[in-house]
Amino acid sequence: MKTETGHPAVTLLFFVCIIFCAAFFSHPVYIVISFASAFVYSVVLKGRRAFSRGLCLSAGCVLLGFVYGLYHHFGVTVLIGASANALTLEALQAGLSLWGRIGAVLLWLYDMNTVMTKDKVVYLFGKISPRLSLYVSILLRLAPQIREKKRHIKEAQEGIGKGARQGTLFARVRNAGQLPSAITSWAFDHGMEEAMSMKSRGYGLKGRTAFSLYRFDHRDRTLVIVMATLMSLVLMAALFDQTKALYQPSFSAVPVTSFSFVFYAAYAALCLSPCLVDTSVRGFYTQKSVGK
Amino acid sequence: MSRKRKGLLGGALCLMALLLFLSLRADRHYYLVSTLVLVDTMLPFFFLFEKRHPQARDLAVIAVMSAIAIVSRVIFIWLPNFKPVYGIVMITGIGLGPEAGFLTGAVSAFVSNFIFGQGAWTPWQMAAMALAGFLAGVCFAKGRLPRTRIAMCLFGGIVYMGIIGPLLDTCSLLLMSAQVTKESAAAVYLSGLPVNLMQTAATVLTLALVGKPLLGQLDRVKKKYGVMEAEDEN
Repeated sequence: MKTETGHPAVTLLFFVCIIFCAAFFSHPVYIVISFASAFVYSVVLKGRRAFSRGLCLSAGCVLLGFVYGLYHHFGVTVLIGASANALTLEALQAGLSLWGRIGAVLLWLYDMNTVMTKDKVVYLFGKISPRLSLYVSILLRLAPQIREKKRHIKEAQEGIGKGARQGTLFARVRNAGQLPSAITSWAFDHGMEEAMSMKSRGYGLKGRTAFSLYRFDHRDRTLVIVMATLMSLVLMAALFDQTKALYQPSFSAVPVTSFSFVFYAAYAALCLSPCLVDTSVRGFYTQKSVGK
Repeated sequence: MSRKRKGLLGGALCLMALLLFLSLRADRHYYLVSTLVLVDTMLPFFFLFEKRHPQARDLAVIAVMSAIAIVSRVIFIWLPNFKPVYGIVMITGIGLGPEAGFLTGAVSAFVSNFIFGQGAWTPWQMAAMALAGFLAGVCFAKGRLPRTRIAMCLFGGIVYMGIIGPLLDTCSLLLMSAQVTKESAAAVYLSGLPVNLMQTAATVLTLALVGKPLLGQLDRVKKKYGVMEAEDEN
């Protein structure tokens, strides 16, 4: 099993929770954990391309954090300069934390775009609003059909000497203008035909259900239980102000106790859970195939 | 206004009041609260759409319009800030009424962001496009505004420059700066001006060039298959 093949609702729960945490936790340890695990997950998902992309993003975030530090002058610890334009440690820390959070959210969004494919979104949508979801799925099917039809119409136009690259300049403009018109007329009539065939197959009648590929099985149940446990630990950390840090006038956070490390571990486990599931199961399957 | 509609509207308003109250209590989570308010304003429309049990034919027409809107956004991917999509959504609103315009806008923004990238801006773009379609539908319904080329262009330009552009700028303002100050707001809105001007030009151009032909096609479909007629009558 990969997290990608799990139930979409579980995946959505994970990403909503994790992006929320990444955006609002201002404690440096939590920012680092979130950023690093988002990075690792993107590499697990997309390989080398994601690696270079993530490196660029990290460098950019560090740079922008420094720029923020150069342009803000609050704080009590002066590093360089003595005037009102002094470079202060607090501004630098605040800038790095701000851009670390933004970078982490971007990375998580990138991961989410990879994992939450269109079919999953349409499926989840369909649970809330079947008609809206049908609308979206008609739409998603229509877009490639339109592209295909455009090619056909273009070829047909060229076949009778009325292509966008044939004739005088005036004729070319006119021919090119006829293409979208032809496509839209076709799209409307095609849509109508599909609607009629849907109706003749009983769309809108009582008791019709929608087919879906997903079912909520034991793997998903286990994952939800584990995630919920970790999430409640993280929530506890948030309630104890462990995830918060202030950068103005000087860096201050709740003192680190032995319990803090439990919370760090819980947050790290939560952030890394999709990677752990993916890689451990992959290892399991390769072992099995070697054993055979 | 039916009873169901009133109930929905009331519920949405209560939710919004609650959110605004919370925003006054919770400091500085401007982005989160404003996005929730935005989503809250959009919800009744989706509910109404769901509750009305639309015919497959109505679905097909607005799906085609959304597809055209999305294609028009995607084929201009190489030209930043110059997308005809708002014009197309406005034409949908003019041709099929405010609710269809709203849905087409919201769904087109959502689906085309699968190509352009989903993110924290998605609800705002959905709201912006939906608003374009809705306003067009309201203003051109029952012959309030004439369906002439000049009226459509003027309407598109004013609405984009005055309402939609600033709305999208507000999104980038809330996303970019942790604290909203007068200076940061002024900086974002001013730097948004050229972008908005480009986008307004694209919208007006779209309305001028494809407005009439597309409306003609919509009327043809409406007459040929008898779709969305009920909506015109109310």
